[in-house]
Amino acid sequence: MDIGYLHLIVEVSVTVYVFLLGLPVLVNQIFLPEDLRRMSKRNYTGGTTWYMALLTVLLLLIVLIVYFGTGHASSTDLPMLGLVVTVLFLLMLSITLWFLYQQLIRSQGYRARIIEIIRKKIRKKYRQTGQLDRAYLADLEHLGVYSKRGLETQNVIKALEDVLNQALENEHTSFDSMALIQVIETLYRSVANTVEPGSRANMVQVLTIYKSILMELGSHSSLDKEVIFGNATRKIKDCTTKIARTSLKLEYADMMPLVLNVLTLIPGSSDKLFYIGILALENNHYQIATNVLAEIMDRDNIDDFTINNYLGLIAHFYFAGPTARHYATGSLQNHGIDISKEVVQKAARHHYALSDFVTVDRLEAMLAIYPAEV
Amino acid sequence: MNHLKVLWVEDNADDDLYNLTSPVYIDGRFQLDIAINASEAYFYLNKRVYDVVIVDIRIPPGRDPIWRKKHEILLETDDVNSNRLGLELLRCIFDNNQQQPTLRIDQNLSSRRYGVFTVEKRDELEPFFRKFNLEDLKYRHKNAMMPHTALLDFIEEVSEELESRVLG
Repeated sequence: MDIGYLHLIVEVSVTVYVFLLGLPVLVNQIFLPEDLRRMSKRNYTGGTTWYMALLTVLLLLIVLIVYFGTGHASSTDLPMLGLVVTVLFLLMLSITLWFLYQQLIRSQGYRARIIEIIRKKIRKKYRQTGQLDRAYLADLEHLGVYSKRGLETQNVIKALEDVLNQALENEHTSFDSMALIQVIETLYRSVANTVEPGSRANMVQVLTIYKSILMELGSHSSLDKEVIFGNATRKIKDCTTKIARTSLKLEYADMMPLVLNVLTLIPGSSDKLFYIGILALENNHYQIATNVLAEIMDRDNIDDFTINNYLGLIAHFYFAGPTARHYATGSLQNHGIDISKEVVQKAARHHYALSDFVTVDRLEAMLAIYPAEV
Repeated sequence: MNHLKVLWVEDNADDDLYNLTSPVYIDGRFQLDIAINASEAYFYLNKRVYDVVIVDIRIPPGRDPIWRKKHEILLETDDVNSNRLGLELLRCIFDNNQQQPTLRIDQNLSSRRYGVFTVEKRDELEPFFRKFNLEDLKYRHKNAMMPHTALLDFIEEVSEELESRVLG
């Protein structure tokens, strides 16, 4: 081994160093989608700084060893110097491979890595301040919206679930209700958005989380927390309905029992059930529509609000074909509801106040022909 | 009209839920709640009163730390039965001498109003049923070839006596 080899290693190391420094930027530009690039700009670097620092140290070592070594070492020491700089050079390459493996291949790649970083930052901030950081949650939401259905979205959902668990565990000490609402909203946006809607499994996962939140809130309910819980449950009600709407568009009708299951845990959900029922009828999903009609009236506290929504849906059934009309008539008899002028007009007034003129027209049309049907 | 209140504990939401529940809804005689894991089942059983409870044997623990712990213990001791949390649920209801009072369920139902709807063979469950005097427990085997009305039929079978009283 001669001195030329040592100089060659230094030259190659400098060249490789320059290339490797640029590699993350190259990967960023070529392979990463826009949403991840945006996250990179927000300093979720995932250890890039450490990686670069380590490469610099190794290069400096190689240069210094060759510079001082060749000046002072005897010819018998040259093979040892050659071995050392070769090992350091191989270490540079190995660290690069390890870094790429960690960032791009392991744990679903760079996206999962960034999600994990944000999750840890939220948890850390929560431990320090007792509050969920909205900015980090917004970043998770952004990733959720742009994540592809399946595993990518699942990673975001899992991170949000973890954050949620931490918040609910400490719910009795200090509780950030607005952040809880933001988590609920972020979960919904991750699976029911127009950019990259989630898969059926993603939606089921979110609905299961909603159900567990409702149960958790239910078991801690107290008068002073009524407002907080009320806001959170209302948000879950809205988000569940929106997920139901998206799932119907995507033909995930088979997850609808779970939607109904979540909504029946929330008192006063008949308005949302009414909406889902109409959507189902419009899309000829009669199985869902009948399930919804059954669920509206299947709860203990049946008030005017529930009756108004039930009758509204009955009116839509009434004009959805002879068999649907037959089913609606059977449902009315089953629940012992008499179609009187007062009851129907009351329901019509309710729907008129909500500008739901189609339902009002159908209620009045039903009233006009109902006695003859019976 | 009084509807019979039914809780169905079933985790296999992917395949069965939609097809099996629809006939129950359309039938109109039952008010159905669905729990997809042990934590949810425990929640429902402590919050609401049911006329009929249908339990699957292999269910996941869900979020409740107590059920998660139970599941971990089962995993450590016996791999085959680690997902048999349905049996643990029944144990909570029918074992009066149980050591974990935190998991007590005071659902005032006789064993006749419980049904086990599972892929497990009855023979495998018999020792458990005998131990807790649950020989009256209704059982139905779940399989891929069952009709979509299987759940409705089974609920009818379990609630046979009740229906004549409540609905009649």
